[in-house]
Amino acid sequence: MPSVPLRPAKIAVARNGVGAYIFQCRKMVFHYCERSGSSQGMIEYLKNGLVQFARKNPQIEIVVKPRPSKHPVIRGIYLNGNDKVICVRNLDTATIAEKVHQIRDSSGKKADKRFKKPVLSTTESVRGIWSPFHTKQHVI
Amino acid sequence: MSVSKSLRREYWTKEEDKALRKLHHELGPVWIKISINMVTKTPKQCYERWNNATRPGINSDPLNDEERAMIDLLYCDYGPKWSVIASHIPGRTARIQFLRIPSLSLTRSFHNSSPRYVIKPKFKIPISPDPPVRDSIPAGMHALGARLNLKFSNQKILLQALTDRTYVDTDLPSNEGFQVLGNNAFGLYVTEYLHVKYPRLPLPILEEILTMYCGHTTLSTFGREVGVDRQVRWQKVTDEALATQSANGNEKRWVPESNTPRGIGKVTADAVGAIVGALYFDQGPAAAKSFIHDQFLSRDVNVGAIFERHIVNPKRDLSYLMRRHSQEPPISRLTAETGRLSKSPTFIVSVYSGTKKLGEGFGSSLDMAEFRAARDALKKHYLKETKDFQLPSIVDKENVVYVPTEIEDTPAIV
Repeated sequence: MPSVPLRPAKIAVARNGVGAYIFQCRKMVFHYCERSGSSQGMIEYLKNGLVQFARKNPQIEIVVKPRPSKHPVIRGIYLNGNDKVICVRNLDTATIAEKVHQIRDSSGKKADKRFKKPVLSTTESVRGIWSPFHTKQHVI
Repeated sequence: MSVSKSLRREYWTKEEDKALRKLHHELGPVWIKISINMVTKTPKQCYERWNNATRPGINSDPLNDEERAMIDLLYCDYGPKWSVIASHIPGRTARIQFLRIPSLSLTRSFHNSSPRYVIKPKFKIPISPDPPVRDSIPAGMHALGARLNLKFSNQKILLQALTDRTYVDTDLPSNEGFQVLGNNAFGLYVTEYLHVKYPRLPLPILEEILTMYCGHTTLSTFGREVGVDRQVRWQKVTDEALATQSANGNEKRWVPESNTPRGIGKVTADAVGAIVGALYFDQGPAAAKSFIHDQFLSRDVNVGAIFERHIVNPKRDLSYLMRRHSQEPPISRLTAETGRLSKSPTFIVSVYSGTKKLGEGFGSSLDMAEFRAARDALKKHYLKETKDFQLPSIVDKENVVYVPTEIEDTPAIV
Protein backbone atom coordinates (compact mmCIF):
# COMPACT_ATOMS: atom_id res chain seq x y z
CA MET A 1 0.00 0.00 0.00
CA PRO A 2 1.58 3.28 -1.00
CA SER A 3 1.87 5.83 1.75
CA VAL A 4 0.78 8.63 -0.56
CA PRO A 5 -2.79 8.15 -1.89
CA LEU A 6 -2.96 7.57 -5.63
CA ARG A 7 -5.88 9.94 -6.02
CA PRO A 8 -5.40 12.90 -3.72
CA ALA A 9 -8.23 13.67 -1.33
CA LYS A 10 -10.03 16.94 -1.95
CA ILE A 11 -11.33 17.25 1.57
CA ALA A 12 -10.04 16.77 5.07
CA VAL A 13 -10.94 13.22 6.10
CA ALA A 14 -12.87 12.73 9.33
CA ARG A 15 -11.27 11.07 12.32
CA ASN A 16 -14.08 10.41 14.74
CA GLY A 17 -12.89 10.76 18.29
CA VAL A 18 -9.63 12.62 17.64
CA GLY A 19 -11.37 15.93 18.28
CA ALA A 20 -15.00 15.47 19.16
CA TYR A 21 -16.80 12.13 19.07
CA ILE A 22 -19.94 11.94 16.94
CA PHE A 23 -22.37 9.34 18.20
CA GLN A 24 -23.19 7.00 15.33
CA CYS A 25 -26.68 5.84 16.27
CA ARG A 26 -29.06 8.62 15.24
CA LYS A 27 -32.52 7.08 15.58
CA MET A 28 -34.28 4.14 17.20
CA VAL A 29 -37.75 2.97 16.22
CA PHE A 30 -39.72 0.72 18.57
CA HIS A 31 -42.53 -1.34 17.07
CA TYR A 32 -44.99 -3.25 19.21
CA CYS A 33 -48.45 -4.79 19.02
CA GLU A 34 -51.17 -3.88 21.52
CA ARG A 35 -52.76 -7.29 21.69
CA SER A 36 -50.27 -10.01 20.93
CA GLY A 37 -48.48 -11.91 23.66
CA SER A 38 -44.99 -11.62 22.18
CA SER A 39 -45.10 -7.86 22.77
CA GLN A 40 -45.74 -8.00 26.51
CA GLY A 41 -42.10 -7.59 27.47
CA MET A 42 -41.72 -4.79 24.97
CA ILE A 43 -44.79 -2.95 26.29
CA GLU A 44 -43.39 -3.28 29.80
CA TYR A 45 -40.10 -1.79 28.65
CA LEU A 46 -41.80 1.06 26.82
CA LYS A 47 -43.74 1.96 29.94
CA ASN A 48 -40.91 1.70 32.44
CA GLY A 49 -37.46 1.71 30.88
CA LEU A 50 -37.62 3.73 27.69
CA VAL A 51 -38.05 7.27 28.98
CA GLN A 52 -35.02 6.95 31.24
CA PHE A 53 -32.97 5.64 28.32
CA ALA A 54 -34.15 8.50 26.11
CA ARG A 55 -33.17 11.09 28.71
CA LYS A 56 -29.70 9.61 29.04
CA ASN A 57 -29.22 9.55 25.27
CA PRO A 58 -30.48 12.88 23.89
CA GLN A 59 -28.51 12.40 20.68
CA ILE A 60 -30.78 9.54 19.60
CA GLU A 61 -34.18 10.32 18.09
CA ILE A 62 -36.63 7.79 19.53
CA VAL A 63 -39.87 6.84 17.80
CA VAL A 64 -42.51 4.48 19.19
CA LYS A 65 -44.98 3.17 16.69
CA PRO A 66 -47.63 0.47 17.05
CA ARG A 67 -47.41 -2.27 14.46
CA PRO A 68 -50.47 -4.46 14.91
CA SER A 69 -50.34 -8.21 14.49
CA LYS A 70 -46.56 -8.29 14.14
CA HIS A 71 -43.78 -9.23 16.53
CA PRO A 72 -42.13 -6.41 18.44
CA VAL A 73 -39.03 -5.04 16.78
CA ILE A 74 -36.34 -2.48 17.58
CA ARG A 75 -34.72 -0.77 14.61
CA GLY A 76 -31.59 1.30 15.06
CA ILE A 77 -30.64 3.69 12.24
CA TYR A 78 -27.08 4.97 11.93
CA LEU A 79 -25.35 7.94 10.37
CA ASN A 80 -23.71 5.83 7.68
CA GLY A 81 -27.17 4.86 6.41
CA ASN A 82 -27.19 1.29 7.71
CA ASP A 83 -29.78 -0.04 10.09
CA LYS A 84 -29.85 -2.82 12.68
CA VAL A 85 -33.13 -4.58 13.27
CA ILE A 86 -33.62 -6.83 16.31
CA CYS A 87 -36.82 -8.77 16.88
CA VAL A 88 -37.56 -8.87 20.60
CA ARG A 89 -40.49 -11.26 20.61
CA ASN A 90 -41.14 -12.99 23.91
CA LEU A 91 -38.20 -11.32 25.65
CA ASP A 92 -38.42 -9.87 29.12
CA THR A 93 -37.70 -6.26 30.01
CA ALA A 94 -34.11 -6.80 31.14
CA THR A 95 -33.14 -8.61 27.95
CA ILE A 96 -34.82 -5.94 25.84
CA ALA A 97 -32.82 -3.31 27.68
CA GLU A 98 -29.65 -5.23 26.77
CA LYS A 99 -30.68 -5.26 23.11
CA VAL A 100 -31.37 -1.53 23.24
CA HIS A 101 -27.90 -0.90 24.63
CA GLN A 102 -26.41 -3.18 21.98
CA ILE A 103 -28.03 -1.13 19.23
CA ARG A 104 -26.99 2.15 20.82
CA ASP A 105 -23.36 1.12 21.15
CA SER A 106 -23.01 -0.17 17.60
CA SER A 107 -21.28 1.91 14.94
CA GLY A 108 -23.61 0.84 12.17
CA LYS A 109 -20.89 -0.94 10.21
CA LYS A 110 -21.67 -4.43 9.07
CA ALA A 111 -19.63 -7.39 10.36
CA ASP A 112 -15.96 -6.47 10.08
CA LYS A 113 -13.86 -9.25 8.52
CA ARG A 114 -10.43 -7.66 8.79
CA PHE A 115 -9.02 -10.07 11.34
CA LYS A 116 -5.34 -9.81 10.51
CA LYS A 117 -4.99 -6.03 10.31
CA PRO A 118 -7.93 -4.50 12.18
CA VAL A 119 -6.43 -1.02 12.56
CA LEU A 120 -6.90 1.35 9.62
CA SER A 121 -4.71 4.44 9.87
CA THR A 122 -3.40 7.27 7.74
CA THR A 123 -0.28 7.66 9.89
CA GLU A 124 2.67 5.40 9.22
CA SER A 125 4.66 3.74 11.91
CA VAL A 126 6.22 5.92 14.56
CA ARG A 127 9.79 4.73 14.14
CA GLY A 128 9.69 4.39 10.36
CA ILE A 129 9.78 1.37 8.07
CA TRP A 130 13.08 -0.55 8.22
CA SER A 131 15.51 0.12 5.40
CA PRO A 132 18.73 -1.79 4.70
CA PHE A 133 20.48 1.43 3.64
CA HIS A 134 20.02 3.13 6.98
CA THR A 135 21.41 0.49 9.28
CA LYS A 136 24.73 0.67 11.07
CA GLN A 137 27.39 -1.01 8.96
CA HIS A 138 28.48 -4.37 10.29
CA VAL A 139 32.12 -4.19 11.34
CA ILE A 140 34.22 -7.27 11.56
CA MET B 1 -67.41 -36.56 -32.53
CA SER B 2 -66.53 -33.56 -30.40
CA VAL B 3 -66.38 -30.00 -31.57
CA SER B 4 -62.91 -28.86 -32.47
CA LYS B 5 -61.48 -25.93 -30.60
CA SER B 6 -61.24 -23.78 -33.67
CA LEU B 7 -64.95 -24.04 -34.29
CA ARG B 8 -65.99 -23.50 -30.69
CA ARG B 9 -67.28 -20.02 -30.13
CA GLU B 10 -68.87 -19.02 -26.84
CA TYR B 11 -71.12 -16.27 -28.09
CA TRP B 12 -74.56 -17.54 -29.06
CA THR B 13 -76.09 -16.13 -32.22
CA LYS B 14 -79.84 -15.94 -32.83
CA GLU B 15 -79.64 -18.74 -35.35
CA GLU B 16 -77.91 -20.96 -32.84
CA ASP B 17 -80.55 -20.23 -30.22
CA LYS B 18 -83.26 -21.09 -32.71
CA ALA B 19 -81.52 -24.29 -33.68
CA LEU B 20 -81.09 -25.21 -30.02
CA ARG B 21 -84.78 -24.76 -29.38
CA LYS B 22 -85.67 -26.84 -32.36
CA LEU B 23 -83.28 -29.63 -31.51
CA HIS B 24 -84.39 -29.72 -27.93
CA HIS B 25 -87.97 -30.03 -29.08
CA GLU B 26 -87.02 -32.87 -31.43
CA LEU B 27 -84.45 -34.80 -29.44
CA GLY B 28 -85.24 -33.95 -25.88
CA PRO B 29 -82.59 -33.05 -23.27
CA VAL B 30 -79.93 -35.25 -24.82
CA TRP B 31 -77.13 -32.76 -25.01
CA ILE B 32 -74.64 -34.93 -26.81
CA LYS B 33 -76.96 -35.44 -29.70
CA ILE B 34 -77.94 -31.81 -29.76
CA SER B 35 -74.29 -30.80 -29.81
CA ILE B 36 -73.55 -33.13 -32.70
CA ASN B 37 -76.33 -31.61 -34.67
CA MET B 38 -75.41 -28.09 -33.65
CA VAL B 39 -71.77 -28.64 -34.63
CA THR B 40 -70.57 -25.33 -33.25
CA LYS B 41 -71.30 -25.87 -29.58
CA THR B 42 -70.21 -28.45 -27.02
CA PRO B 43 -72.83 -30.38 -25.01
CA LYS B 44 -72.02 -28.47 -21.87
CA GLN B 45 -72.48 -25.13 -23.63
CA CYS B 46 -75.83 -26.26 -24.98
CA TYR B 47 -77.02 -27.37 -21.55
CA GLU B 48 -76.02 -24.13 -19.88
CA ARG B 49 -77.49 -21.99 -22.61
CA TRP B 50 -80.77 -23.86 -22.41
CA ASN B 51 -81.06 -23.51 -18.67
CA ASN B 52 -79.96 -19.91 -18.43
CA ALA B 53 -81.38 -18.28 -21.51
CA THR B 54 -83.16 -20.30 -24.15
CA ARG B 55 -85.70 -22.47 -22.35
CA PRO B 56 -89.26 -21.29 -22.50
CA GLY B 57 -90.29 -19.15 -19.62
CA ILE B 58 -87.14 -17.09 -19.51
CA ASN B 59 -87.55 -13.45 -20.24
CA SER B 60 -84.51 -12.26 -22.15
CA ASP B 61 -85.72 -8.70 -22.61
CA PRO B 62 -83.97 -5.93 -20.73
CA LEU B 63 -85.18 -5.29 -17.19
CA ASN B 64 -88.18 -3.01 -16.87
CA ASP B 65 -88.71 -0.54 -14.04
CA GLU B 66 -90.96 -2.82 -12.02
CA GLU B 67 -88.41 -5.55 -12.04
CA ARG B 68 -85.63 -3.15 -11.14
CA ALA B 69 -87.53 -1.94 -8.12
CA MET B 70 -88.14 -5.48 -7.01
CA ILE B 71 -84.47 -6.37 -7.40
CA ASP B 72 -83.44 -3.37 -5.31
CA LEU B 73 -85.82 -4.33 -2.52
CA LEU B 74 -84.74 -7.93 -2.55
CA TYR B 75 -81.09 -6.89 -2.59
CA CYS B 76 -81.57 -4.97 0.63
CA ASP B 77 -82.82 -8.19 2.21
CA TYR B 78 -80.57 -10.80 0.70
CA GLY B 79 -77.50 -9.03 -0.57
CA PRO B 80 -75.77 -10.33 -3.68
CA LYS B 81 -77.53 -13.68 -3.71
CA TRP B 82 -78.78 -13.56 -7.25
CA SER B 83 -80.36 -16.94 -7.63
CA VAL B 84 -82.47 -16.29 -4.54
CA ILE B 85 -83.51 -12.88 -5.80
CA ALA B 86 -84.25 -14.28 -9.26
CA SER B 87 -86.50 -16.93 -7.85
CA HIS B 88 -88.82 -14.14 -6.67
CA ILE B 89 -89.03 -12.55 -10.10
CA PRO B 90 -90.94 -14.51 -12.75
CA GLY B 91 -89.05 -15.28 -15.88
CA ARG B 92 -85.64 -14.30 -14.57
CA THR B 93 -82.50 -16.21 -13.65
CA ALA B 94 -79.31 -15.30 -11.82
CA ARG B 95 -78.22 -13.51 -14.98
CA ILE B 96 -80.03 -10.40 -13.76
CA GLN B 97 -76.80 -9.44 -12.00
CA PHE B 98 -75.36 -8.66 -15.42
CA LEU B 99 -78.46 -6.92 -16.68
CA ARG B 100 -78.94 -4.50 -13.82
CA ILE B 101 -77.08 -1.26 -13.33
CA PRO B 102 -75.39 -1.66 -9.95
CA SER B 103 -76.04 1.03 -7.39
CA LEU B 104 -73.26 1.89 -5.00
CA SER B 105 -75.45 3.51 -2.38
CA LEU B 106 -77.64 0.43 -2.34
CA THR B 107 -74.69 -1.82 -1.96
CA ARG B 108 -73.34 0.30 0.86
CA SER B 109 -76.62 0.54 2.69
CA PHE B 110 -77.05 -3.22 2.50
CA HIS B 111 -73.59 -3.87 3.78
CA ASN B 112 -73.92 -1.37 6.58
CA SER B 113 -77.21 -2.80 7.78
CA SER B 114 -76.47 -6.47 7.38
CA PRO B 115 -74.79 -8.03 10.38
CA ARG B 116 -73.45 -10.94 8.44
CA TYR B 117 -71.33 -8.94 6.00
CA VAL B 118 -68.13 -7.24 7.22
CA ILE B 119 -66.94 -4.49 4.95
CA LYS B 120 -63.22 -4.49 4.24
CA PRO B 121 -62.12 -1.13 2.86
CA LYS B 122 -59.99 -1.43 -0.21
CA PHE B 123 -57.66 1.35 0.86
CA LYS B 124 -56.26 2.21 4.27
CA ILE B 125 -57.87 5.30 5.66
CA PRO B 126 -54.78 7.28 6.62
CA ILE B 127 -54.60 8.44 10.21
CA SER B 128 -53.23 11.84 9.43
CA PRO B 129 -50.95 13.15 12.14
CA ASP B 130 -51.71 16.53 13.61
CA PRO B 131 -50.62 19.17 11.08
CA PRO B 132 -47.17 20.39 12.07
CA VAL B 133 -47.14 23.65 13.93
CA ARG B 134 -45.20 26.31 12.10
CA ASP B 135 -41.58 26.44 13.25
CA SER B 136 -41.86 23.47 15.56
CA ILE B 137 -38.58 21.75 16.25
CA PRO B 138 -38.67 18.08 15.18
CA ALA B 139 -37.21 15.38 17.40
CA GLY B 140 -34.38 14.77 14.94
CA MET B 141 -33.22 18.35 15.32
CA HIS B 142 -33.02 18.07 19.10
CA ALA B 143 -31.00 14.89 18.60
CA LEU B 144 -28.69 16.69 16.17
CA GLY B 145 -28.06 19.46 18.69
CA ALA B 146 -27.17 16.91 21.35
CA ARG B 147 -24.95 14.95 18.96
CA LEU B 148 -22.89 18.03 18.12
CA ASN B 149 -22.93 19.18 21.73
CA LEU B 150 -24.54 22.49 20.81
CA LYS B 151 -25.91 24.34 23.81
CA PHE B 152 -27.86 27.35 22.67
CA SER B 153 -29.72 29.70 24.98
CA ASN B 154 -32.82 29.10 22.84
CA GLN B 155 -33.51 26.10 20.59
CA LYS B 156 -35.06 28.36 17.97
CA ILE B 157 -31.57 29.58 17.18
CA LEU B 158 -30.65 26.12 15.95
CA LEU B 159 -33.87 26.04 13.95
CA GLN B 160 -32.98 29.35 12.37
CA ALA B 161 -29.48 28.16 11.56
CA LEU B 162 -31.03 25.19 9.75
CA THR B 163 -33.55 27.30 7.80
CA ASP B 164 -32.27 27.92 4.30
CA ARG B 165 -33.22 31.07 2.39
CA THR B 166 -35.30 28.96 -0.03
CA TYR B 167 -37.68 27.88 2.79
CA VAL B 168 -40.56 30.33 3.06
CA ASP B 169 -43.11 28.65 5.37
CA THR B 170 -41.54 30.13 8.48
CA ASP B 171 -41.66 33.17 10.74
CA LEU B 172 -37.94 32.96 11.41
CA PRO B 173 -35.34 34.78 9.32
CA SER B 174 -33.14 32.59 7.15
CA ASN B 175 -29.67 31.46 8.08
CA GLU B 176 -27.88 33.85 5.73
CA GLY B 177 -26.76 36.15 8.53
CA PHE B 178 -25.38 33.30 10.61
CA GLN B 179 -23.75 31.88 7.49
CA VAL B 180 -21.74 35.04 6.81
CA LEU B 181 -20.63 35.16 10.44
CA GLY B 182 -19.76 31.46 10.45
CA ASN B 183 -17.75 31.60 7.24
CA ASN B 184 -15.70 34.46 8.62
CA ALA B 185 -15.18 32.56 11.87
CA PHE B 186 -13.93 29.60 9.83
CA GLY B 187 -11.60 31.88 7.92
CA LEU B 188 -10.18 33.36 11.10
CA TYR B 189 -9.68 30.28 13.25
CA VAL B 190 -8.48 27.86 10.60
CA THR B 191 -6.08 30.37 9.02
CA GLU B 192 -4.49 31.37 12.31
CA TYR B 193 -4.08 27.71 13.25
CA LEU B 194 -2.39 26.81 9.95
CA HIS B 195 -0.27 29.92 9.90
CA VAL B 196 1.09 29.34 13.39
CA LYS B 197 1.49 25.60 13.01
CA TYR B 198 3.28 25.77 9.61
CA PRO B 199 5.07 29.12 9.74
CA ARG B 200 7.05 28.64 6.51
CA LEU B 201 4.21 27.34 4.35
CA PRO B 202 4.05 28.99 0.90
CA LEU B 203 0.84 30.88 0.23
CA PRO B 204 -0.77 28.78 -2.54
CA ILE B 205 -0.35 25.66 -0.43
CA LEU B 206 -1.73 27.42 2.62
CA GLU B 207 -4.80 28.40 0.59
CA GLU B 208 -5.29 24.86 -0.66
CA ILE B 209 -5.07 23.37 2.81
CA LEU B 210 -7.45 26.05 4.06
CA THR B 211 -9.98 24.98 1.42
CA MET B 212 -9.55 21.38 2.43
CA TYR B 213 -10.35 22.15 6.03
CA CYS B 214 -13.25 24.54 5.62
CA GLY B 215 -14.25 24.64 1.97
CA HIS B 216 -17.73 23.94 0.65
CA THR B 217 -17.09 20.26 -0.04
CA THR B 218 -15.75 19.59 3.43
CA LEU B 219 -18.62 21.38 5.11
CA SER B 220 -21.21 19.49 3.12
CA THR B 221 -19.43 16.17 3.74
CA PHE B 222 -19.34 16.94 7.44
CA GLY B 223 -23.02 17.87 7.34
CA ARG B 224 -23.89 14.58 5.72
CA GLU B 225 -21.73 12.54 8.11
CA VAL B 226 -23.41 14.13 11.08
CA GLY B 227 -27.04 14.30 9.94
CA VAL B 228 -27.41 18.01 9.20
CA ASP B 229 -28.63 17.31 5.66
CA ARG B 230 -31.68 15.52 7.09
CA GLN B 231 -32.68 18.39 9.35
CA VAL B 232 -32.07 21.43 7.18
CA ARG B 233 -35.28 23.07 5.95
CA TRP B 234 -35.03 24.02 2.30
CA GLN B 235 -36.62 23.82 -1.13
CA LYS B 236 -35.11 23.17 -4.51
CA VAL B 237 -35.83 26.58 -5.99
CA THR B 238 -33.75 29.07 -7.94
CA ASP B 239 -33.00 32.40 -6.30
CA GLU B 240 -34.86 34.19 -9.07
CA ALA B 241 -38.00 32.18 -8.41
CA LEU B 242 -37.63 32.93 -4.75
CA ALA B 243 -37.33 36.63 -5.39
CA THR B 244 -40.60 36.64 -7.29
CA GLN B 245 -42.30 34.48 -4.64
CA SER B 246 -43.67 36.61 -1.85
CA ALA B 247 -41.42 36.06 1.12
CA ASN B 248 -42.67 36.47 4.68
CA GLY B 249 -41.16 39.92 5.14
CA ASN B 250 -41.51 41.16 1.55
CA GLU B 251 -37.79 41.78 1.64
CA LYS B 252 -35.97 42.27 -1.58
CA ARG B 253 -33.82 39.22 -1.97
CA TRP B 254 -30.50 39.58 -3.65
CA VAL B 255 -30.48 37.62 -6.91
CA PRO B 256 -27.04 36.18 -7.68
CA GLU B 257 -25.74 35.93 -11.21
CA SER B 258 -25.74 32.17 -11.59
CA ASN B 259 -29.29 31.01 -11.20
CA THR B 260 -29.09 27.24 -10.98
CA PRO B 261 -31.10 25.90 -8.08
CA ARG B 262 -28.89 25.05 -5.13
CA GLY B 263 -28.70 21.37 -4.31
CA ILE B 264 -28.61 19.61 -0.95
CA GLY B 265 -24.78 19.73 -0.90
CA LYS B 266 -24.52 23.51 -1.00
CA VAL B 267 -27.51 23.91 1.29
CA THR B 268 -25.91 21.60 3.86
CA ALA B 269 -22.58 23.41 3.62
CA ASP B 270 -24.34 26.73 4.21
CA ALA B 271 -26.25 25.26 7.14
CA VAL B 272 -23.02 24.05 8.77
CA GLY B 273 -21.51 27.51 8.33
CA ALA B 274 -24.68 28.92 9.85
CA ILE B 275 -24.41 26.62 12.87
CA VAL B 276 -20.92 27.96 13.55
CA GLY B 277 -22.18 31.50 13.10
CA ALA B 278 -25.06 30.83 15.46
CA LEU B 279 -22.61 29.51 18.06
CA TYR B 280 -20.47 32.62 17.68
CA PHE B 281 -23.51 34.87 17.98
CA ASP B 282 -25.18 33.11 20.89
CA GLN B 283 -22.36 31.55 22.88
CA GLY B 284 -19.40 33.72 21.99
CA PRO B 285 -16.22 33.33 19.94
CA ALA B 286 -14.70 30.73 22.26
CA ALA B 287 -17.59 28.33 21.64
CA ALA B 288 -17.30 28.72 17.86
CA LYS B 289 -13.53 28.26 18.04
CA SER B 290 -13.72 25.07 20.10
CA PHE B 291 -16.39 23.69 17.75
CA ILE B 292 -14.16 24.34 14.74
CA HIS B 293 -11.13 22.83 16.46
CA ASP B 294 -13.03 19.73 17.61
CA GLN B 295 -14.94 19.00 14.42
CA PHE B 296 -12.76 20.34 11.61
CA LEU B 297 -9.17 20.83 12.67
CA SER B 298 -9.13 17.29 14.04
CA ARG B 299 -9.66 16.03 10.51
CA ASP B 300 -6.79 14.58 8.56
CA VAL B 301 -4.99 16.43 5.77
CA ASN B 302 -1.86 15.07 4.09
CA VAL B 303 0.13 18.28 3.92
CA GLY B 304 3.16 16.58 2.36
CA ALA B 305 1.13 15.22 -0.53
CA ILE B 306 -0.34 18.65 -1.29
CA PHE B 307 3.10 20.23 -1.21
CA GLU B 308 4.48 17.58 -3.56
CA ARG B 309 1.76 18.32 -6.09
CA HIS B 310 2.89 21.96 -6.29
CA ILE B 311 6.56 21.17 -6.92
CA VAL B 312 7.71 21.21 -10.52
CA ASN B 313 11.47 21.77 -10.34
CA PRO B 314 12.75 20.99 -6.85
CA LYS B 315 16.46 21.24 -7.65
CA ARG B 316 16.06 24.79 -8.93
CA ASP B 317 13.80 25.81 -6.04
CA LEU B 318 16.28 24.38 -3.53
CA SER B 319 19.21 26.23 -5.07
CA TYR B 320 17.29 29.54 -4.93
CA LEU B 321 16.39 28.81 -1.33
CA MET B 322 20.05 28.29 -0.41
CA ARG B 323 21.01 31.48 -2.20
CA ARG B 324 18.38 33.43 -0.27
CA HIS B 325 19.66 32.12 3.04
CA SER B 326 23.28 32.80 1.99
CA GLN B 327 24.23 29.20 2.39
CA GLU B 328 26.42 27.05 0.22
CA PRO B 329 24.76 25.82 -2.99
CA PRO B 330 23.21 22.35 -2.76
CA ILE B 331 25.22 19.35 -3.98
CA SER B 332 23.77 15.86 -4.36
CA ARG B 333 25.86 12.86 -3.42
CA LEU B 334 25.15 9.18 -3.87
CA THR B 335 24.81 7.73 -0.39
CA ALA B 336 23.98 4.12 -1.16
CA GLU B 337 23.08 2.00 -4.12
CA THR B 338 22.25 -1.51 -5.11
CA GLY B 339 21.62 -3.37 -8.32
CA ARG B 340 22.87 -0.68 -10.71
CA LEU B 341 22.94 -3.00 -13.74
CA SER B 342 19.96 -5.09 -12.71
CA LYS B 343 16.30 -4.73 -13.59
CA SER B 344 15.40 -2.94 -10.36
CA PRO B 345 18.21 -0.73 -9.11
CA THR B 346 17.89 1.38 -5.98
CA PHE B 347 19.83 4.60 -5.53
CA ILE B 348 19.84 6.69 -2.39
CA VAL B 349 20.92 10.28 -2.99
CA SER B 350 21.46 12.91 -0.32
CA VAL B 351 21.55 16.66 -0.87
CA TYR B 352 24.13 18.63 1.08
CA SER B 353 24.77 22.29 1.63
CA GLY B 354 28.42 22.19 2.61
CA THR B 355 28.54 19.50 5.28
CA LYS B 356 24.94 19.92 6.34
CA LYS B 357 22.58 17.27 4.99
CA LEU B 358 19.35 18.86 3.70
CA GLY B 359 17.40 15.91 2.39
CA GLU B 360 17.45 12.39 1.05
CA GLY B 361 15.64 10.55 -1.70
CA PHE B 362 15.52 7.12 -3.26
CA GLY B 363 14.78 6.10 -6.82
CA SER B 364 15.34 3.52 -9.51
CA SER B 365 17.49 6.00 -11.45
CA LEU B 366 20.01 8.59 -10.33
CA ASP B 367 17.92 11.48 -11.64
CA MET B 368 14.83 10.19 -9.89
CA ALA B 369 16.67 9.86 -6.61
CA GLU B 370 18.16 13.35 -6.98
CA PHE B 371 14.74 14.79 -7.70
CA ARG B 372 13.29 13.18 -4.64
CA ALA B 373 16.21 14.28 -2.50
CA ALA B 374 15.73 17.92 -3.51
CA ARG B 375 11.99 17.61 -2.92
CA ASP B 376 12.59 16.09 0.49
CA ALA B 377 14.89 19.00 1.34
CA LEU B 378 12.21 21.50 0.36
CA LYS B 379 9.60 19.66 2.38
CA LYS B 380 11.78 19.60 5.44
CA HIS B 381 12.22 23.31 5.15
CA TYR B 382 8.78 24.56 4.19
CA LEU B 383 6.65 22.12 6.13
CA LYS B 384 8.35 22.75 9.42
CA GLU B 385 5.79 22.33 12.22
CA THR B 386 5.68 24.29 15.43
CA LYS B 387 4.86 21.98 18.28
CA ASP B 388 3.90 24.10 21.26
CA PHE B 389 2.16 27.27 20.27
CA GLN B 390 -0.48 29.70 21.38
CA LEU B 391 -2.99 30.97 18.90
CA PRO B 392 -3.57 34.74 18.64
CA SER B 393 -7.29 34.29 19.37
CA ILE B 394 -6.41 33.21 22.89
CA VAL B 395 -6.58 36.87 23.87
CA ASP B 396 -10.38 36.47 23.82
CA LYS B 397 -9.99 34.85 27.21
CA GLU B 398 -9.09 37.11 30.06
CA ASN B 399 -5.92 36.87 32.18
CA VAL B 400 -3.93 35.21 29.44
CA VAL B 401 -0.52 36.38 28.35
CA TYR B 402 -0.09 35.80 24.65
CA VAL B 403 3.38 34.72 23.61
CA PRO B 404 3.62 35.17 19.86
CA THR B 405 5.54 32.69 17.72
CA GLU B 406 8.33 33.92 15.53
CA ILE B 407 7.27 35.05 12.07
CA GLU B 408 9.33 33.12 9.55
CA ASP B 409 10.80 34.14 6.26
CA THR B 410 8.74 34.13 3.04
CA PRO B 411 9.47 31.43 0.47
CA ALA B 412 12.34 31.91 -1.94
CA ILE B 413 11.21 33.65 -5.11
CA VAL B 414 12.23 31.76 -8.22
